[in-house]
Amino acid sequence: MLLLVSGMHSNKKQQSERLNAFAAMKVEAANSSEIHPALPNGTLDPKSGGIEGILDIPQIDLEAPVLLGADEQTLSEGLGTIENMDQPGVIDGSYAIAGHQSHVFGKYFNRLHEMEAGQEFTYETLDGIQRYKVFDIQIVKPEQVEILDSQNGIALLSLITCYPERSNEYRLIVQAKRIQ
Amino acid sequence: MKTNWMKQVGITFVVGASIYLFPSAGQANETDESTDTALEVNDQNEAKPLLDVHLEDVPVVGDVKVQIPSSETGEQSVAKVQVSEGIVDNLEVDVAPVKKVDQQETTQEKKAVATVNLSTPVTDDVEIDVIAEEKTQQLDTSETSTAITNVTADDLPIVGETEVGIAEKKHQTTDEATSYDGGVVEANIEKVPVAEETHVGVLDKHVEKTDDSYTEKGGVVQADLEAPGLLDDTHVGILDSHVVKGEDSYIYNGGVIEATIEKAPVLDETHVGVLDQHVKQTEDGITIDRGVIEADVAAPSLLDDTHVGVLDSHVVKAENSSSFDRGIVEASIEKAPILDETHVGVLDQYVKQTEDGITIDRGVVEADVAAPGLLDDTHVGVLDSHVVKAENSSSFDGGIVEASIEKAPILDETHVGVLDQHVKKDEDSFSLDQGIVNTIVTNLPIVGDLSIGVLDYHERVMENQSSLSTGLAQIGLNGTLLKDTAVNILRKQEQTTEDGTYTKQSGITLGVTLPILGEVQADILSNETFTSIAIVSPTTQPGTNPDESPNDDSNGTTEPDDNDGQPGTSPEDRDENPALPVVDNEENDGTNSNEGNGETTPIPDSNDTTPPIVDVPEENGNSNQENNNFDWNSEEQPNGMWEDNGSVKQPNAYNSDGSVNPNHMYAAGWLAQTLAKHNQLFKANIVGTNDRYNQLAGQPIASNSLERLPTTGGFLNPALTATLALILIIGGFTARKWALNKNE
Repeated sequence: MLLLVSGMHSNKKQQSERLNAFAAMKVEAANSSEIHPALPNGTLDPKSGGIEGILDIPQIDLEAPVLLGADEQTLSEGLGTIENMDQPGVIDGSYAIAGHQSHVFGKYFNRLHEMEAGQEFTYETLDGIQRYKVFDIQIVKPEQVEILDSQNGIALLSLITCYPERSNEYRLIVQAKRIQ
Repeated sequence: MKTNWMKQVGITFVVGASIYLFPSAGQANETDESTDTALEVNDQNEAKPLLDVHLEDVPVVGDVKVQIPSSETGEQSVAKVQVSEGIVDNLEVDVAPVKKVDQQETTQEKKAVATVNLSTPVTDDVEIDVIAEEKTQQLDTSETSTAITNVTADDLPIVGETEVGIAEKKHQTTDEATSYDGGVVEANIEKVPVAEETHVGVLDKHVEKTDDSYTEKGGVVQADLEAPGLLDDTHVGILDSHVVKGEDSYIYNGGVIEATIEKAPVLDETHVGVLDQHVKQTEDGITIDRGVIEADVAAPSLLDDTHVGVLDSHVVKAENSSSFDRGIVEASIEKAPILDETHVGVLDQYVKQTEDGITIDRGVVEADVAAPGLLDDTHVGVLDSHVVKAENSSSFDGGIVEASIEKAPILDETHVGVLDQHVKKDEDSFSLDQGIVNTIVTNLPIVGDLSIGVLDYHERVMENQSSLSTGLAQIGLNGTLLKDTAVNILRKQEQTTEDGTYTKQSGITLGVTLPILGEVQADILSNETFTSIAIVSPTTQPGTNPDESPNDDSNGTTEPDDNDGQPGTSPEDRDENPALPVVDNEENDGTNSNEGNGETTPIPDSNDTTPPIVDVPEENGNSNQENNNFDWNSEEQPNGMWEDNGSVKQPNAYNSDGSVNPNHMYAAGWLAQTLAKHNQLFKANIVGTNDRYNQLAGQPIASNSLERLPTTGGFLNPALTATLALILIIGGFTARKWALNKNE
């Protein structure tokens, strides 16, 4: 029990620190972009500590930092992006965030299945706050990676978690497009 | 005395003359007409025999009739002896008989040196012709048969209607066909108690020729048996051959011993051959089967389409494909009560070539077994090799011992290899797996997925990256009890991308993923290095002094920490000075620096980047003996990563026209931390710096590089964990209280 409480506390603290760190980095990035306007749009500062952005979905009471990578270690610490994809919020691009549906020390995407089409959420990067609207929710097999393929005319953001509860058999994919 | 002799002769002469002359004198009342009629009748009758003796009731022998010569209606002979009503019912012996039958549409003539007709209560009618010739002309059919001896029996006691010919031959000619049937011994038995239409021939030959076909059957001994319900259409031949030629086809079946059964109580279409050969040629191709021993058995519901061959070979050649299958011993079963499509071969080789490629399977022992529900698609091979070569890809699988099971009651996709090697190459990738022992077992009941490698070597090369893993022993477990567990002894890992080579060597590595603690990893005697391929200094321009480059060290390598995580230049510098040419691939001599030419050419230690030595199978199934190397610099592999000298090929920063290669703009000069995105082990050192920058190095791969979506499930969540913890606490307290109460 103590281990659980300790782990929960540690995880919460870590998430909080990352949120604060990202806020600080954003300020720093804003200053840096004034000095170095050539910094690629939306890309992270080397000192960002691997935080890609902040995902805020009020409907499921989620505000969490998003790390770079979707490997097991990264996902045990929080939400993570799948590497080698497009920049977030780019038209004709595809970007994906994965998170645990159930995890010992964190909630992450434990309520992602409550999302519905039409709901809106935001994703904050160093470049600014991007608003997305859910347009599709699918349950697919783990091998169906083509679900992440980019779609013409929209900036696609996919939220990925396992489905059903406590199982790795399927993946729940919430797909949203950037509206602002 | 002398007087008596003369008297007797004289009296005999007088009596004889009287007997001869008196009938002539007695015809005085007969008219000329009646005399003519009598003469006419006499003309139609055969000539009188010179000797005609009739003896009746001769003891034992019975009636005896001798005529020299003999002449009957349609039949003449030099001499004829007939014995009847005695020891035999009838015995006729004709010497040099000539028999003619001239009917309306049929003309038949039969000649023989001697003909014996015998009829006894035991043998019934038997006719024996010695050196006989028979000609028959019937409408459009003419038939000639000759024989030294020909025996025809209507109903012999056991064999029934029987015809035996010695040195017999028959020619038959019709308007449509010509046939020949001959043999030293020919025996046809119409009916015996168990068989019908039995034919036995010694040095036997049958030929039939038509306008559009030719059929020839021959053999030292040939036996055809028809025993309905027991042996249907059975043929046994010694030095047997059967040829059928058509306008567009040719069939040959032959062998020292050939035995075929069309149908038997248990068997269907069974064939056994010793030193036999079967050839079938049509317009579409040719099929050749041959073997020292060949047995094809079809026993419905017991052994369907079963084939056993010793020194067996099977060749099929069609217009666009050819194949051959041969072996010292070859056994295949299409279907049996437990087995499906089972094949066992000793010194077995199978080659199939089509327009699309070639497949070669060979092994000292090869066994492919399919036992549905028990062993699905099981393969066991000793000194086994399997080569597939297509237009743009090739693969090789082989080993001293190779065993694989697709599915079994306990096992899924199991592979065990001893001194085995698996190579796969296509236009975009190359993989190599080999080892003294290579074992992969999936879905074991408790253990889960298990992999064991002893002195194993695994290599993957893709267009822009490669990986290598080798070790004294590598054991991996991923199951219910232990998840993602790995134990590695004396292991070496390499990850190479456009930016450099990451190397990790460890004495012992232990990695375990536990439910609560997550991943636990322990390395003993571990050493990690990164060797950069190319470092671009922001100040390095073509023709400038490389010594001015702030990040250029003498050996051309840069540790990731050397520049505080910076990619060799600041972002603004990068924009001002895009990636510069760093090396001339054509002139790359493998050294670490090209002093004096203004170019920085950091090359990793060639000792650590030995090009994969791969035994590439050729079309004939042999290794490439000429260079014995996997040619990554051939025209087929323009993106190969290896130079001739064994060093890693430098990525071209500039195109041939001098323009900047966009794919290389970011790859060449930036931190090699892209590796972190491909290699988790590397991530421990350098993760979290500027991965997003490195993502710019290549085109977004999106889902192309993903094999599976991330695993984000788990059994435990905080609520469940807390519940379990509470249950344990309460259970503990309860147990303690119960124990205390019991002690009191």
